[in-house]
Amino acid sequence: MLPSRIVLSKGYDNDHLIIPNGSEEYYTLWNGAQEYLKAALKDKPTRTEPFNEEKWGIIAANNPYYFEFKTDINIDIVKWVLNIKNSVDSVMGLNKVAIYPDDPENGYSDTIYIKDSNNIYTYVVSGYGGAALDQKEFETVYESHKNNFKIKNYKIAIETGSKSLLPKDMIAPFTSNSEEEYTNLNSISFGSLQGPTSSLAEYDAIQLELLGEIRNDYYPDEDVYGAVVFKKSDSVYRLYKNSVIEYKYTGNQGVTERTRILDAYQKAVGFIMELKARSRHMDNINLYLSSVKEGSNSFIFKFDYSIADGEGHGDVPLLLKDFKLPNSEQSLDSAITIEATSKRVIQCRWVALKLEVNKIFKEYTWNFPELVDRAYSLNKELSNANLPIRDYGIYYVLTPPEVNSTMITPSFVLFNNTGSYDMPLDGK
Amino acid sequence: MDWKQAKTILIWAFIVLNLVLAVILYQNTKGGEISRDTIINTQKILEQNNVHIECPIPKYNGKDFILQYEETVLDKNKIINGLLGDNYSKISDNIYEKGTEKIVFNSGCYFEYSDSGSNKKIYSQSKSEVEIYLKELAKKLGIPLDEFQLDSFSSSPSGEDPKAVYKGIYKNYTVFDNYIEVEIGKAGLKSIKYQYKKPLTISSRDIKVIPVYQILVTKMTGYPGIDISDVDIGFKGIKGDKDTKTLYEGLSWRITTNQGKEFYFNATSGELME
Amino acid sequence: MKSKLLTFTIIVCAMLSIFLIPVFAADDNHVVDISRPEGDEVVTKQVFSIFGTCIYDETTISFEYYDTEAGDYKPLKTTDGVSTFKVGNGKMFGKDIRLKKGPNDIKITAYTKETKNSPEEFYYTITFGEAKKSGDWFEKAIDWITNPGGEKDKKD
Repeated sequence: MLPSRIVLSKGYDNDHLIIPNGSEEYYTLWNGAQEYLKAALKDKPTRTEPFNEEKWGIIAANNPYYFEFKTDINIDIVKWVLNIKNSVDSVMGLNKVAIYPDDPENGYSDTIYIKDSNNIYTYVVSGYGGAALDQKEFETVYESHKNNFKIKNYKIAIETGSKSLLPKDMIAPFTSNSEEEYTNLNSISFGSLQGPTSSLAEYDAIQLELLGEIRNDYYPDEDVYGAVVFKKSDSVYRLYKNSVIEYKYTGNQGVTERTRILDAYQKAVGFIMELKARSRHMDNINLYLSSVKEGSNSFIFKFDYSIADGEGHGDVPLLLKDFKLPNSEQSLDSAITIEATSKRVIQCRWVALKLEVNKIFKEYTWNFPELVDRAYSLNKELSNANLPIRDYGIYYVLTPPEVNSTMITPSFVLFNNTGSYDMPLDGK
Repeated sequence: MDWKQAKTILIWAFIVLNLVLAVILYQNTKGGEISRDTIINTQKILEQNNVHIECPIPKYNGKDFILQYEETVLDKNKIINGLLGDNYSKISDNIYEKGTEKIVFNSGCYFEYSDSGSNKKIYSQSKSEVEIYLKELAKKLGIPLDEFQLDSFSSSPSGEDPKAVYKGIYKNYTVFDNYIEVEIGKAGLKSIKYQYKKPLTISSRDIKVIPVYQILVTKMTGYPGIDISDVDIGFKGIKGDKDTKTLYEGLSWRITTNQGKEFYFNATSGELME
Repeated sequence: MKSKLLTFTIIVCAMLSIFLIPVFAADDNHVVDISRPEGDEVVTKQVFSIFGTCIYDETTISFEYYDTEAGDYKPLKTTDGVSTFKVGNGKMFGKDIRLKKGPNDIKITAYTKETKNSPEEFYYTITFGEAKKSGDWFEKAIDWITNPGGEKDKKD
């Protein structure tokens, strides 16, 4: 459970620095945040109010530390990850967190704001005596990053005025240009794309790539869509031609007890960790939980990929486009979709591409209104719908591989209520 | 040292070497074999658990094999014309009827014929008569009867309504998933169930099968009160879903009881198969 | 009597229409919503952001500042060197300007092809003041939240 973004702010209308994911400072700040969360969650919040977008935008802009997760993380999972034993359960989950140690407005106590899917919770904590995230740490991180070319210094949308139609806590270069560096991504499809194989040796080679070893209790096969199938008496792997792999548990589910979200999450994470360890194609990919849904007696977790650009540049997230399974009209929306009960994982679908950054950095200069303009002029659908922008990002966009290896450049992606619209980021 | 002495010493040295190697070789092969004691002990354990076994217990514990099939599609028209003649009605793409007779096709390599009336008369219910009848029918329907062998011929307790089951055979191996099941009633043919895919090749795998005595001892003791009448080995596949072609199958042990029930265990994992 | 009443009615209608037409006309040339500045503001940073959302697809925006010596408005260049720019289908714009110390009277003009002859105009006074206390960034932030209109300055 790692935040998808950490922002260091000098205040309203001031610098907002995005600390690159995976950097040393990123971990220092997140570890510090965990200590504050542990202290806060022991008690009830000082104030609870329904979510108000403008209020949250101000909180995001004003507080020195801001942590974002891609989705609301259920409180049971949070408690397990943070190792919180005794807590008062007022919060349903963590979606975004703002922290203000030694807040002068609250008697120099530590103030923590937590947003879940419904409310904003304010905690004024006096029980934490540690030095994590204190003024000294802030200054150190700020000074070392202020002049760093690779650090992004964006604005928070509330600073463009309360009347603007953007989500108030959106972070982007709204007025001045941002100069950034990105590398290109090499995407190699899983196995060979040539269609069903029919020699046992070829099946063994595929098993080796998939499972990291040749398991004799799996029997190979083909299916009517040209996917390679490995069957065991209680499970089956299917390798589709577009590099999507599916695992399904086909055995008897047994007596069904009510599934608890934490158990299902642990089973899901365990399965994914094992997958990463076994198969070489998941090596340098980072995962972020992006949604949780309840099934009939199971939970469906969706994770998205992101990949480190290297050399302190942080992560770039990956977006799937047009990955469809045969027999289905809907495209996959997340890189990993995994369904689990308290007992086991019953289905998992993931995109198995070997991804590598090529470490040659190119400069990009861009600002948000200009790219929105270009997106709207390139895309009639977008400008006709005229829906408010829900979110945006710089992504590597993955499409089903036509050839064995493809080179991907960064794209600017806009999200509104009908879907996502991407275009290449050459922003000069 | 003169040459004569050297020759003698060398000859003796080689003879000793050969003897040593022969002993080692013998031990190696012997070590892979299952001893008589093991079999006797297996029978004892089964009896203790109220499982009676009347047949010999096979000792095979060598390599596993994989049978590869060709993608096979039944010749629907030949089968429909052969069983129903003309004037049949097509209920759907896979269901055909004529009076009391009905044919249902499923998955391209399976069909089922049933007759609640008495349209196909057979002279008698004896095994030989049924076999002759079936040979004729097979020719008409395009069924490769020479790739099957009679597996069982059983009747109800009153001696009537026999059921003949044929299983596929390829290169001396039984292919369990190719079968013809024929039920004969008083008046004639009651039903035929047919499943067939054409076997292509058999290749060996680098893994050894579990000897069946282990499966008997660990799994069959869970079914007290049964009488095992036969134990054999053949090819049987793991069922996939309807999109999977199931063209590759490994070896499975089959344990048959007196009542006609069959248990299949995957020969490399020992797991019970559907 | 009747004719006097009639004359009176005609005069009233004429005057009404003279007064109302500008009002309607003014509504007709509304082409942009400026979200920042939010009215007159007092800030402590030299770089100030102007942000707005246009209503139509092609809008021309101009920035000017009042030059007290010259007694007139002069073009105000943004940090990327332009004082007039076009906004396309995205309908969104955001630019930074540099303030001088003290009050800055800014005029923003906006028009589309249709309203070229009667552009929409906005006037703001942005005051660039010294930081009230030395250094502490969080105190500045608190100031900003608690005094968004800048009444504090007026008290001084």
